[in-house]
Parts: sequence; C-alpha cells; structure tokens
Amino acid sequence: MAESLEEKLSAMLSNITSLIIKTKSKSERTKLTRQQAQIAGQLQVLIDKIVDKTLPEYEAATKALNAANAEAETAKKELDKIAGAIKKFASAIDKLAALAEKVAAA
Amino acid sequence: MDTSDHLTARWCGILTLTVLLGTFTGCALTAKQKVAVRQFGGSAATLGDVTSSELRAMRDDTVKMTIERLLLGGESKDPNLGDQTSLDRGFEVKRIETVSGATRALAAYGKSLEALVDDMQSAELITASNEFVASLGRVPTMKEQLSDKQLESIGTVIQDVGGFWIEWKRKQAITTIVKESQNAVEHLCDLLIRDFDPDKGWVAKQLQIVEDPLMAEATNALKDGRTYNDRKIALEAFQFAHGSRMRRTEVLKRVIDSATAMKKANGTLVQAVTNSAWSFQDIQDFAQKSYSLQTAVKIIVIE
Repeated sequence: MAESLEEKLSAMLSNITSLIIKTKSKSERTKLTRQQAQIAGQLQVLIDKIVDKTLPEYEAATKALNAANAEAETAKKELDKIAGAIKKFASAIDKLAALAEKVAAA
Repeated sequence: MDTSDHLTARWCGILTLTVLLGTFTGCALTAKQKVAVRQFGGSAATLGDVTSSELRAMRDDTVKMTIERLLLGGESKDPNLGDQTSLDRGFEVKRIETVSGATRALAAYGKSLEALVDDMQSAELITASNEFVASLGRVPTMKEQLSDKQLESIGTVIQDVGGFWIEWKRKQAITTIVKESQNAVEHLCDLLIRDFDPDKGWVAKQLQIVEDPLMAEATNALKDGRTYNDRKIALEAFQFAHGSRMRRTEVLKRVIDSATAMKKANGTLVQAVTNSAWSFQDIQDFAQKSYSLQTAVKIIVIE
C-alpha cells in the first residue's frame, strides 16, 4: 500500500531530527531546523483536516453509548425497586393494622 | 397438619418449583455469564478511563513542549507557520473534550455493566421481606391464624420470588443493553484502532509535530551550550520530548491492542449473554490487554 502524504511528512520530520543530531555545522542545523518547522506546519494542516472529519464520528459514538448508559441506569433502578415495593406493602399493612385496632377499640 | 399449614406448604412448593424452573430454563444469567459481563465491564472501564486521562496528559505534554521549544528557539519569522504562541495547538480543549467524551462514555458503559451484574439487591430484599413479615405479624387477625413458622415461610417465598424476578429482569436488561450497544462499542473500537495507531493515526502524528521540532531545538541547545546551565536547560527539553515519545510509542500501541481485543470480546459478550456457544478466552485476552495499558501508563508516569 502506498504511503500517504501524512506518512511521508511524518517520516521527513523524523529524518530531519536524526540529521540535526548528526550534523556538527551550526548553520546546517539552523537550515534543517527551519525546514523541519515548515514540514511540521504542512503536516499540521493535513492533521487538522483529518481531525475535523473525525470529531463527528466520536460525537455519534458518545451519543450512542450515553443512550445505553441511560438505559442501564433505568434498569438498575428497576432492580432496586422490588425491595422498595415490598417495604411499601409492609408499611401499608402496619397502617391497616393500626386502623383495625382503632376500629376494634371504638 | 391443619388446613392453613397445608395451604402454606402447597404455595411454598409451587413457588419454589417456579423459581427453580426459571433458573434452570435460562431466565437468569449463569455464574459464568456474570463473570464474563463483570470482567468485560471492568476492562472497558479501564480502557476508557486510562485513554481519557492519557489524552489530557498528551495535551499537557503539548503545552509544556511548545513552551520549551519557544524558550529555546524563539518564534519563527516564517509567516506560513501560523500562530506559534498557541500552546495547545493540536490538542485544543474542543478536540480533547470530543474524543475523551467518547472514551469516558465507554468507561461509563463498562461501569454500568458491572453495576447491573453485581447483586446489591439480595440484602435489600431480605430486609424488605423481614419488614413485611413483621408487619403481617402485627395484624391481629393474622397473628391468630398464622404461626411463626408460617410467617417465616412467607418471608422465604417473598425472597425467592423477589430474587427470581430481579434475576430475570437483570438478564433481560443486560442482554438488551449489550446487544443494542454492540455496534456503537464496535465503532468506537474501530475509531480508536484507526486514530491511535502509533504509525498511521493522527494522535501520534499530532504529538510528533510538537515533539520533533523540540528535539531539534534541544539538540541545537545542547551542541551550542557552553555552560552547565545551558546544558541543563537543553536536557530538560529532551526529557519532555522523551516522555511524549514514550506515550506515542508505548501507550498508543497498548490502546490499540486493548481496543482490538475489546472489539473481539464485545462480539463474544453478545454471544455469551444470548446463550449461544462462546469462549471465555477473548474476554480474558481483553482483560489482559487493558491491564497492560494501565501498567504501562503507571510506569511512564513514575518515570
């Protein structure tokens, strides 16, 4: 598969760094540093274009997963509800018992 | 045995049989299925949390490296290079928020699955049924008609039926959520595999755009430095570039390894909760990869 332009620029950035490390001449290094900054600038433009296309994909994935999380939260509350319902029955029975006692005493 | 004893025993028998039948005919998740959901959920939470915090760390690295580069080399006079004082260039808040929004949602998904599969309801159910039986015992007519043993049996039946209902609802909820999220999880794994690739993804290249020019400036400063202080400043810059390179190579690789394993494990999880033939291996492999990511990050942070 052919290398993309981003990959070529990325390889150039690494190669220039290696050259700067090896080069003794200050003027050569300055020239290489300047060229490297230009390549980094060009790569930045390409990356910006890629990322602009990518972000909506992440937003869609977030939306879908958040919907699943909301569903899970509701399901968890449902599971917790059964004990609450039994407690409500218990409290209703207590109230009925109290009422029955009052009726019997009257 | 009097009539009420006979009736209670009959009802208890029928309900116990219903619960047992329900359990054995697949109305509840098996222990192995629960382990699979728990392990997958935990690993998803690790992958999501670590990736989110690493994105923030990459943004911090970018700011530090840009400051160092500007300190060492100054601002370029080339007008084509744009605003060089934009310190977080490439890892701006909007970008990080959007990508880490997705990885945080992934972590929340994993934690939701763990919370759904963990049985927090049994203890609550016992308390509730005890309260119910105690209330029943306080009703004067019930007190006369039911013995303590009968009341106790009613409590057990409530716990069994309640537990059965909870397990049935739990399985229903987990199966639905896992199946409905399958595509979203898979798609997010694909995005991470594509964008976090250390060789081809944009995240690595974005780090490199900041890292390589800093390496160049640090090299120039070290070669041209005359004093201890000159060299110290240059070496501090090297250290920032080195930290970023570790993230670019080691962390990104582990993120895509984990995402690749998660994609496979996600398919297995769907099979696991729908009861078809499945192997635990993929889920264990995902757990191992997410653990490796977490460990690598700890090493890099300590460094």
